[in-house]
Amino acid sequence: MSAIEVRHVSKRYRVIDRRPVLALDLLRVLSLRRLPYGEFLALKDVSFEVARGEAFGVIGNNGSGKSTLLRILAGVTVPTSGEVRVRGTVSSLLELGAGFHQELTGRENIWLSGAMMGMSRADIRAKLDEIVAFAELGGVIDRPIFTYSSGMQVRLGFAIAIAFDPDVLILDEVLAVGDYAFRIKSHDAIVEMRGRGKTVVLVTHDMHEVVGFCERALLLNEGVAVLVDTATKVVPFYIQTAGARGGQRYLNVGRLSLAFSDGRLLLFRDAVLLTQLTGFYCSFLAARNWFDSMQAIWQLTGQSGSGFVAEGRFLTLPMTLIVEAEMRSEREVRVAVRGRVHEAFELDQYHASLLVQSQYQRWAAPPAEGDFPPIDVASHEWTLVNARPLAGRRLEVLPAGELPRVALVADDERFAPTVLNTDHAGNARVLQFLRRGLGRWEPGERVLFAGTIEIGPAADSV
Amino acid sequence: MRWRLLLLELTRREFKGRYVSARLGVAWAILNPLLQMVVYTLVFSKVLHVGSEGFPYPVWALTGLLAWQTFRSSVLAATSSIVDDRTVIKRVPFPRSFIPLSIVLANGMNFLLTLPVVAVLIVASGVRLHPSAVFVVLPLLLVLALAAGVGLLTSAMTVFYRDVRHLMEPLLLFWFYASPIFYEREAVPARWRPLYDLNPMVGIIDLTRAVLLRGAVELEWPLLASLGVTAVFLIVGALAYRRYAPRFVDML
Repeated sequence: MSAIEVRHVSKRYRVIDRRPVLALDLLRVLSLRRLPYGEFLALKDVSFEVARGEAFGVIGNNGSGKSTLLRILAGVTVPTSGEVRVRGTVSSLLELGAGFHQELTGRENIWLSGAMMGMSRADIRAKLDEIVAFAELGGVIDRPIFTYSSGMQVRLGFAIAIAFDPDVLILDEVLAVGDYAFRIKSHDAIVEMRGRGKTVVLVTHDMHEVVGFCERALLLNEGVAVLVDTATKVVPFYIQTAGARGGQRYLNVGRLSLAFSDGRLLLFRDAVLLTQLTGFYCSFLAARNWFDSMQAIWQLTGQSGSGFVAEGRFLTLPMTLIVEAEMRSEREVRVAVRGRVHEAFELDQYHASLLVQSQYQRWAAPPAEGDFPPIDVASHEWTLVNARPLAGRRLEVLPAGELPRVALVADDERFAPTVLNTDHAGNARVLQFLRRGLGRWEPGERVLFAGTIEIGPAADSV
Repeated sequence: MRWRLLLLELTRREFKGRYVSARLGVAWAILNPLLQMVVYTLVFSKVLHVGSEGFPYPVWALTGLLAWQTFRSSVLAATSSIVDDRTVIKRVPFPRSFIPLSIVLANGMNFLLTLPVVAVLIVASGVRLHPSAVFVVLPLLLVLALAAGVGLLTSAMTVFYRDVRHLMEPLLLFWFYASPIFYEREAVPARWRPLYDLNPMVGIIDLTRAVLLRGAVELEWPLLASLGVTAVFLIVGALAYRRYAPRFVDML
C-alpha cells in the first residue's frame, strides 16, 4: 500500500502586484468590475505515488513547484484541485531556520513544537532528553532561541522532526545545512528510520544526495511532473537538461511531453522517458571528426504553444543548425533540421538518430523486422543490428511493456536507414537515418532532415 | 482531545511572550490595565459629571472597564496574530484557530489576575463587595466568547486584507464610546436604546456590575441581545476559519 498518493493535483495562486486593500476591493465589488487578479499555476495536474518505506526525491529548478508540492504533502496548504492522500503521521521540516519562537527557550520551543504536532504531554516528556541530546544543545537548551546560531536552530528543528517517529518524514532542503558531522548524523537517522519502514520525501539540489538516498524521484519543471522514475534515471536526465546553456524548451500535449535541450530532443509519455541519453539528435562527420548537435551553442529563436525553433552554432564547423519542432498531437511530432553553411567545407556523412530505451526488444523497417540483441556489458562501441541494408523511410521500435511503439519517419528517401545498439554505458537502441558520400558543401541553407516522430499505434495500422 | 496541549502551550507562550522581556514580568500584566483604568477614571470623573447608578464613580467606571479591556486587547492582538505567526503557520499544519483563541485565553488570565486588585479597590472605596462576585466568571466567559468570535473573523480577514489591522483601532474607539463604560445606559435616549442594546458589550458590562456591585442579575433584553450577537460572531468566525484557514499559507 502506498504511503502517499497524489492524483491530478493542481495548485493555482493569484498573482497580485501588491497587497489587496479592503476598502479598494469593496469599491471595486460595488462598481461591479472584476477584480484584477492574474493567475499562476504552481502545479499542473501532478500525479505520483510513493510506496511505504520508500525514499522519494523531488528535484527541479527554482520555481518549479517543489516547495508548493511539499507544503501540500505536509498539509499546510491545500491543492486547488486533485487529491492527496498521506497515510500515517506526518512530520515535516520546511523552510529553514524559521518557526521557532525567538523569545522562548529551546526547551519551551520543544514543548510548543511537540504540541503543534499533536503530541501529548507524556509523549513530549519522554522524548525531551533525546531531542536535546540529538541536537547537541545540552548546555544551552534553557536559553532563549534568539541566542542560538542558525546551525543550532536547524539541529533542534531536525531533532524535533524525527523525535516523534513519524510514518512520513518530509524534508525541504535541510540536510544541506548544518556542519558535516551533523549531516552524517541526520543522514544515519533517516537511514535508520527507513529501515523501520518509514517513508521519506526529500527536496534537494544536491544530486548526489538524491542518487545516494532515494529509490525514486520526481522531476518538476514549471509545475509539470516531467519524469517520475528511479533516481538513477531522473537525476542524469535532470543534470543534462538543467545544464542547458539557453536552448531549452519544454512542451506538453496530452500524454506526450517533449523537452528540447541544447541540441537533443527528449520524449516522455505519462512522465515516463521514452528516449534515452541524447534522444533525437544529429551528428556530422567532417575532417574525420564527428560533430554532435549537442556541441553547438543553442538559442531559441521562436516558439509557439506547441512548437519551437532553435538555432545552434558550431564553434569548429562553419555551419549553424536550425531545428524546428511542432507537436501535432500526443502521437505525432514534426521535426525539421536545416543547415546554414557559412563557408564551404567537406562533409563526409551525417545522420539523424533517435535513441530509445533499451527495454525495446524489436525493431522494424517495414517490411523488414527483427530483434535487438542484448547490449553486451563488454561493448564499448555502437554495434550494427540490422544484418542486411535496409530501405525505405520508416524506422520503428515495437511496443515493449508499458512503452509504446515509437517510429522515426523521414520525409524523403535520401537516407540509409540503420538500426544499432549503443555501447553498454549508453544502454539505448538507435534508429538512425544516415547519409554518406556527400563531398563539398557550398554556403547556403538546405534541409538536412525532415520527418515525423510517431508515438503509439501508427494512424494507418489501427 | 489531541490538541489540548497545543492550546495550553500557545496560551502560555502568549502570556509569557508579552511580558517576558519586561523587567517586572507578570506584574505588568496586572499593572498595565490598572494604570489605564486610573487614567480613564480620573479624566471622566473630573471632566464629565455623569450618573453611576449610585455607586462611587471610580469604582463604577472601573468595573465597566474590566470587561472592555479584556475585549479590546484580545481583539487587537488576535487581529494580526495569524500574520504575526506566519513563520510557524508555513511550517506546521496545526489548527490555525488556536492562535487567536490562545490570545483570548491569555487575556482571560489577565482578567483573573486583575480581579483581586479590583476587589481591593471596591472595598477600599467603601462599597460592600457583594457575595455574588464569584459569578464574575459569567461575564468573563461571555466577553471571551465575544472576543473569540470577533478575533477569529478579523484575524482571518487580516490574512487577505492587511489594512483590517488599521481599521480596528478606530472601530474599537467607536465601540468604546458606544458602550456604557463611563456613562449609564439610561443616558442614551430611549428611542435609540433598542439599537444601542445590540452592542453585546452593553449586556456584558451590565452583567459585570450586577455581580460585583448590585448582587442582582436581571436577565433582560441587553443580556439576551449580547448572547445572541456573541453567538453570531462565533459562528461567523468559525465558518471563516473552516473555509479559509486551509489556504492561509498561500496569502502569507
